Amino acid sequence: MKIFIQQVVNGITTGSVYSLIALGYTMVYGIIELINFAHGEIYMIGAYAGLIVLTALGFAHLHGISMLIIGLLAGMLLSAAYGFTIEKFAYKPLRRSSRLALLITALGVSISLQNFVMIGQGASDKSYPSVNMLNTVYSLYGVSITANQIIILAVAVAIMIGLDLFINRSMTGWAMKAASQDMVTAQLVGINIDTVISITFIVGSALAGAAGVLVGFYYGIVNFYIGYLAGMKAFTAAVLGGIGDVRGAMIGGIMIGLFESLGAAYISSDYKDAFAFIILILLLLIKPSGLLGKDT
Amino acid sequence: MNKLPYRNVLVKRIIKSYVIPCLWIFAIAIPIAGITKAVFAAMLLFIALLIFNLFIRNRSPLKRTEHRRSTEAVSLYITRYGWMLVFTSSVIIPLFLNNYAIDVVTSALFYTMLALGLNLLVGDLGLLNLGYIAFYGIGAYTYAILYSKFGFGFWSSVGLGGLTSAAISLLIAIPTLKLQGDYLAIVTLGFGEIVRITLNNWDSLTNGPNGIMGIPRPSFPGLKFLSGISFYYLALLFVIVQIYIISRLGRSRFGRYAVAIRENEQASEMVGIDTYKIKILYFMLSAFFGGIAGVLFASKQMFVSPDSFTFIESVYVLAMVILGGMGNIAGVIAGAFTLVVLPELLRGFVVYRMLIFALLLITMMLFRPEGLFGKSR
Repeated sequence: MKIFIQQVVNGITTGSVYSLIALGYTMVYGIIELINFAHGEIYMIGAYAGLIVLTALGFAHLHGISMLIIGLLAGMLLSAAYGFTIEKFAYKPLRRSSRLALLITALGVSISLQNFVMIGQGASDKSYPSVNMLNTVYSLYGVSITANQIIILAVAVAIMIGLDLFINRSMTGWAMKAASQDMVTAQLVGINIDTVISITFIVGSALAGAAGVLVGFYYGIVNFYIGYLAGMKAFTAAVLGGIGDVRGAMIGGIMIGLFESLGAAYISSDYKDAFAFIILILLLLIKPSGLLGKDT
Repeated sequence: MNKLPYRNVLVKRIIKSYVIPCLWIFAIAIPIAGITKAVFAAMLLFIALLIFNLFIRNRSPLKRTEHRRSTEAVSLYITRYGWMLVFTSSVIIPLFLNNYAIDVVTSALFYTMLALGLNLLVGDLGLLNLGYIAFYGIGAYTYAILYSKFGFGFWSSVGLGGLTSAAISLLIAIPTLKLQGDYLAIVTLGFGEIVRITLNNWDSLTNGPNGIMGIPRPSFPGLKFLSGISFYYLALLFVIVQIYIISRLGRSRFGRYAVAIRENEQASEMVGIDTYKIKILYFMLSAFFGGIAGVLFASKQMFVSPDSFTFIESVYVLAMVILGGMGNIAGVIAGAFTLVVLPELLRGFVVYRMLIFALLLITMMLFRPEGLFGKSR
C-alpha cells in the first residue's frame, strides 16, 4: 500500500508536468487543427533557458525560491518567444495549404529546433543547479514527498487555475474560444484571427517553458532530446482528455503520469515509455474523441 | 524627406520585412547559441527572405502555372525515355565504383524500396505513416530470428519477413484506418515507438540492445552474394521487381481507387469504392515492401540492432517521398538517392547535417509542397 501511494504521488507530480505541456497541444489544435510536433522542443528550450539564465547570473549566490522564480520567468519568456516565432515563420504561410504539408512542416521545425539546440549547447547532458531547499524530504506515514514535488504541484495548479480564468473570463480568452469553434464567423464579428493565434502559441509555449524549468529542477539534468518523449506523452494526454478541451488536457496529463508510474512499478519498468503509446492506441480504438471531447 | 514619400515607404518596407525579422531571430537565438551562431542564423534568414521576396512572391499566378507545366513535362520525359537510361546506368556505373561507393548506393537502394513502399500510403492515398521504419525493423528481425533460432535461409525469410510485416500491419490497420489523417499519423508514430521499445527489451527473443549478429548473406546455387557489388545487383533486382509491381498497381483498378480516395474520400465512397478495404490493402502492401527491404538490410549488414529503427529514420524516408514528389515513382527514387548520397558528400558538415535537412524539409513545404518533380497525374 505504501508503494502504491508513493507511486501515486510520483505519478501526479510527473503528470502535472505532462498537463502543462498538453495544454499547449490542445490549445493549438483547438484553433488551427495542427498537431504541433515542435511543442516538445519548446518545452526543451524552456528547460535550457532557465538553466542558461541561472548560470549567467551565477546561481550559487541566489536564494532557492528566487532561483526558481527567475528560472521559471526565463523559461516561459524564451519559450513564448520561440513559439511565437515558429508560428509566424513556419505555420502562418501554410494556413491555407493541405494539412499534410502543415504536419510535415511541424516535423521539420521540431527536428531543426532540436539540432539547433544541440549545436548551440552541445550534445552532452547539462546539469541544473542543485538547490538544498528543494531536496528536503517530508515523510508522511512512510510515504516520502520532496519539496520539489510540492512546488511542481503548486506551480502547475496555480498556472492551470490562471489559464482557466484567462480562457473563461477574459475577452482574449473568449476570442480564443470563439476562434476555435468557428474561425470564419469569429473574423466576421471582428476578432483579429492572427492576434488570437499568436496569443495561443505564446500562452501554450510559456506553459511548456514553465514545465521545462520545473522538470529541470526535478530531474537535475537537461538534454537536447528530452522534448521528443515528453512531447509525445503530453500529446497522448491531450488526446486522452479530448483534444481541443483545456480541462481535458489537465486531467489527461495527470492520468498519463499515474498510468506510467503505476505501470512501471507493477508491470515492467523496461516498458515505461511504451505505456503512453499503448494507452493512446487503445483509447483511439474505444473513444477517439477522448474523455471530455464531444463526438463529432 | 517629405518631398520623397516613396523613399519613406521603401525604408519602412525594408525595415518591416527584413530588419525586424532578422533582428528578432538574432535576439532569440543568442541565449541558446551565442553571438556568432546567432549572427549566422540571422544572415541565413536574410538570404531566405531576399530570395523569397525577389523571386517567389512577385511571380504572377500565370507564371506559376507555366512553371508547373514545364516541370510536368520533365517528369513525363523521365517516364518515357529516362527509364532506359536509369536502368542501364544503374547496371553499368557500379562496375566502376569503389567498395565504399557501392555500399552507399546499395543503402540508397534499400531506402528506395522503403520510400516506394511508403509512397503507396503518403503519395497515393494521402495517409501519413510516421512509424514506417517499424516494418523495416520487423522484416530485419524476422530474418535474424528465423535464422538464429530455426536455421531458416535467406530466400524463405524474404517472403516470411514481408508477410510478418504485413500481418502485424493488419493488426494496427484494422482499428486505426477508420480514424482521421492526423490521428493515423500519431498512432503509427506510437506503433513505431512500441516496436522499437519491444525490440530493445525482449531480451530472450531479440537479444535486447546488443542486437543479433552473424546473419548470413544470401546464397543461390552456384552464386554467393558475398562481395558488395554482387549484393548491389541482388538489391537492384528487388527494386526493379518492386517498381514493376507498383507501377502495375498504379494503373490497375486499385491504383485509380486510391487516387480517387486521396482526392475526395466521401465522393469515392459515394460511387461505391470500399475505401476502408483499399486503405487496408495499401497499408499491408506498404508494410510488406518495408519488411522485404528489412530482410535485405539485415543480410547486408549481417547484424541487426534496435538503433537502426528510430523515429528519425521514419522521418528520413518520409522526406525522401516528399522531396521527390509524392505519388511519382521516378521522383521518389530521385528523392531517395539524393538524401542518401548528398549527406555522404557533406561529410564535413556532419554536425549541421540534420539541421540542413530539417530546414530543407520546411522550405520544401513552404515553397514547393508538390516536390521536385511534381505529380505525375
